[in-house]
Amino acid sequence: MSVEAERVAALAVDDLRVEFPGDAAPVVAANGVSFAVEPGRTLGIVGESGCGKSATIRAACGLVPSPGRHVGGTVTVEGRTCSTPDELAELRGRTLAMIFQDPGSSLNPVMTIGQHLREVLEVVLGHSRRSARAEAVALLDHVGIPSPASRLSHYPHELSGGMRQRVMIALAVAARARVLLADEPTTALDVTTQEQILQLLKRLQRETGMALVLVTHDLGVVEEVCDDVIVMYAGYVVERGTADAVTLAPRHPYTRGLVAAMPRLFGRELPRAIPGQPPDMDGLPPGCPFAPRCASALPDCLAVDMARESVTDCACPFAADSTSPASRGEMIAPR
Amino acid sequence: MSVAAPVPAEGYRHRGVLAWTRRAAGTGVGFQLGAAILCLAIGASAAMHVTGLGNPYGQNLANTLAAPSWAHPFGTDEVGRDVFQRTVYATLLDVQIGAITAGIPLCFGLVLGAAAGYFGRWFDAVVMRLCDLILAVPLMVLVLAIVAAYGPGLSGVYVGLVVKGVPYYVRLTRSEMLGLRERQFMLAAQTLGFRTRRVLARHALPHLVATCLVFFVSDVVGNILVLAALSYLGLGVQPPTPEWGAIIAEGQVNLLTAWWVTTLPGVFVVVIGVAMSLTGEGLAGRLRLRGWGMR
Repeated sequence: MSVEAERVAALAVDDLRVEFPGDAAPVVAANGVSFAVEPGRTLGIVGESGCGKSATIRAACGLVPSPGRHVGGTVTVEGRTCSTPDELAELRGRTLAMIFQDPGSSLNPVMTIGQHLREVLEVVLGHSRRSARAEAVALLDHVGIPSPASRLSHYPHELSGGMRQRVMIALAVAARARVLLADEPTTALDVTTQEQILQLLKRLQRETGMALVLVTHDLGVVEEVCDDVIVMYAGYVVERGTADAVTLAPRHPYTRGLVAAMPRLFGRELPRAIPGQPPDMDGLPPGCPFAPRCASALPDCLAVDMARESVTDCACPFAADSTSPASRGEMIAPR
Repeated sequence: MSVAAPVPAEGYRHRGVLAWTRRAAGTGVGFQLGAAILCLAIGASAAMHVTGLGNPYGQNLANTLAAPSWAHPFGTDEVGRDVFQRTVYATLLDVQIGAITAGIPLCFGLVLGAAAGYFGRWFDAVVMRLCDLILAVPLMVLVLAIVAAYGPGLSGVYVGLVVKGVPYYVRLTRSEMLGLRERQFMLAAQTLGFRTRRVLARHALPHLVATCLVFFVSDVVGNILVLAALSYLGLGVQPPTPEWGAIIAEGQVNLLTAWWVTTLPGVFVVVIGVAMSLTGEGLAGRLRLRGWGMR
């Protein structure tokens, strides 16, 4: 992929803010989130449940779950800057596509696979009936579904989870989307199928040069397929960097906790969980939201200006010393 | 990865209304029986209307209140008219009124209910309060008021039943939509670039219709009974036009001496009602299981 020629980001999210109505003040699910993905690159968004990953990615395609609202920031897709969900709606299905965690419920149970594909091809892409059928078969074949022609008449429940995710991917890439948002696409699948789906996504990416945004819990997935990573906590981006830097040499205490919590094949140590729970988003304490769970918290942590820190590579101003090779060494397992 | 089963490469199974109806006919004995009875009754009634066979208006004062026989299966009434012929003849009118007064609310209710459930917010509030307003007025009083304004005849019946029917379909559809809205395939359809109208019409509607259809058939029967009640009060169909309610009401005077004039048309209405329910259940089951073809 010639990076020099394609410096323009396929997807750029700038200072995104998503709010949900709360008891007293609004709950901010995404607080000043910014990132950019270039064509052919893969960005991972990691974090615990409820840290704003899904809200961010849903806002990026203009579909914030009700009653949440996209209240600030812009999303730029292929040079087109959108600041409202309505503007993004016009890009969905053509330049912007999305796949979901549970492929079983992403397909309408009363429609056949063929109907799903045909609808996209005819309505969104303007194929004729005849060419839609041929294209549907080609798409299914392309995403690795055996005997694709006979699958057209099947209903979603007649396929396995991996197959359904392949169909969903076929639908999403039917229009050769430039940006594919994947909301935990492999979480609901078993490990071998996960691997196949990830390989499929990588192959499609190589072929079309689309940008891929992958929301995941799984740092293993990040290491394997992502080029860059952002780590989110309580609606803030707490760390960003290349996948290798973040997974091998994490700087923010939260990221270090996540890496330490990941089981390693060759490590002597057992995975260590981060104590406590993600904070109650309804009424965040001032300062760094991770401070109450942080092993190396200082009194000054409560005075950290997250709005300023979360746009840097590491939102912890006290993390500089922890990046010394000595403290990183234990994280790096032999591979 | 599952190994592909040897499935014949037949392509799309859905091909038009005809194929769908043919498959729907395979849903079970209940559906087949119900549909057969309905077709027979409506067909016979339509044949009487079109060809002029039979004589539902013909009086025979020499043969009044005759007991059921081969010549007159349901006996004859006070003025010697054949009750069976009148009952069958009335099928078309009754089913037609029942279907129209349930069908129009079905359409309005589906659209309004789906929109209220999907969009929520102020639209939902306005629609639901309007429904409460209509439901707050007792049906008979509402229809009586409309009939009083329009004068006796079918127009009052039509307007009253339609107005009264809409809120039920709105509520039913809305509650279904509230659950459906959270289903991921609705979201997925949006991410694929479909407009909201298409998401609602193509992806949500088949799920909503299945529920409403079951209510629709019972509503048709219910409306026929209301029509009968209104005719009995002299506000609906005017004599001598045969109508089930009117026929039953006319026979009531002689119930003790000539029970058949009231009872047998009543049984006929029940059979038609059951046939409708069976047909509706069968269709809804099929719809829920398979969905609609694309067009």
